Amino acid sequence: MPYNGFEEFREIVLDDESLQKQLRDLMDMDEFITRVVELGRSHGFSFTAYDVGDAVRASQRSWVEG
Amino acid sequence: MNKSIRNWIPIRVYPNGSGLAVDWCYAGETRFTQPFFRDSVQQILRSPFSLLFRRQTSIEVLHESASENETIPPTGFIFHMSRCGSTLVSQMLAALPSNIVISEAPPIDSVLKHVAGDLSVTTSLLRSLVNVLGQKRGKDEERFFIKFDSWNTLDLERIQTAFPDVPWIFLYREPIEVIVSQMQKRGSQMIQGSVERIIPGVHLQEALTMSAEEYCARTLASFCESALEHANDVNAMLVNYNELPEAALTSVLGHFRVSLDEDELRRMRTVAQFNAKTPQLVFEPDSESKQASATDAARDAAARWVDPLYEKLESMRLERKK
Repeated sequence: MPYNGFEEFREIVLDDESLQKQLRDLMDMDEFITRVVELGRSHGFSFTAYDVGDAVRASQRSWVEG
Repeated sequence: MNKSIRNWIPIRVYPNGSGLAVDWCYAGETRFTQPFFRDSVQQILRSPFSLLFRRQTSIEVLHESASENETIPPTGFIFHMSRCGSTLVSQMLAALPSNIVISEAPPIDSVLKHVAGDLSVTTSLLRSLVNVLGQKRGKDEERFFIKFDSWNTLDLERIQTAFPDVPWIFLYREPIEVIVSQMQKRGSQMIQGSVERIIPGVHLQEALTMSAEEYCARTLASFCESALEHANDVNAMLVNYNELPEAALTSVLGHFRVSLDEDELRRMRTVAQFNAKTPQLVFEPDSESKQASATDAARDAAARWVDPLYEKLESMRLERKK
């Protein structure tokens, strides 16, 4: 599973407005990644900040190259 | 999938397998205020959430989502031949929080490019896409304008079929000034082969043998021909660059059936003082310098391929003013 399970958590967030609300207003990337990891842990996931950082870079690449 | 797309916008439409797919990002209430859609999206993607939590869906989700939220139907369309004040007009309109302005959005161009055959499919898809882009995300929004890419002037027929009641303008300029601008910094559409069939009847092999000036002039000619073909439509209005910025505050608004107060007009007028594509810079008129710097090759190409069409556009425009 890419990014150590983060992709599965991403789908959970996309399906859950309350989770989205906890993340939408965080503009500082470090603070955002920390919160994503915390929320992931609370949902039983073990991905790390490095995994989320990799996912962020992949998203940026897909936008730039798309 | 039945996830709400309220305040999500489609930022990319792309071929995926046998169909099309859509890439969405969360935009919240962030307005499109940058000169081009792609720049506005880049601004939105500065939000970590919007960057990381994007949705990729089938094209069917676009249709399903089209009726989900309050949306504003299109108020007016802007077509143009490039380098002729279209960004100025769109930026003047975008100065008002009451206007949603989408400028040269790649998703729209993708739909027009990838759904070439069946007119009913194009119509349905365009309507769903425009519907979603016209979501009312800000409380003050009440109008919706779309500025198309210059080569979408060749799709006027299909766009009018999908939106038969939307007023539109075609912006144009003295061809030599556009060619000089394009030779200084070429737009992607002026590179041979980048936009398929941009010059009707000319295949890539022939295009590759043309000089840059000829290719540019013949591309501009194809835009003007398409505009002329539809210029008698009741929804059509021709606007010359030399009428700007005043026309954007008067006849264009009137054509779009928009009435604004003095404060709104003042805000639009303020935008016109700055370079539309680089708003940090003050606007400097450049028609004279472009005319003076034109090469013989550019003048010859303009004279042979575009000037006669420009004269026709002018003749029609001036006839209407009587």
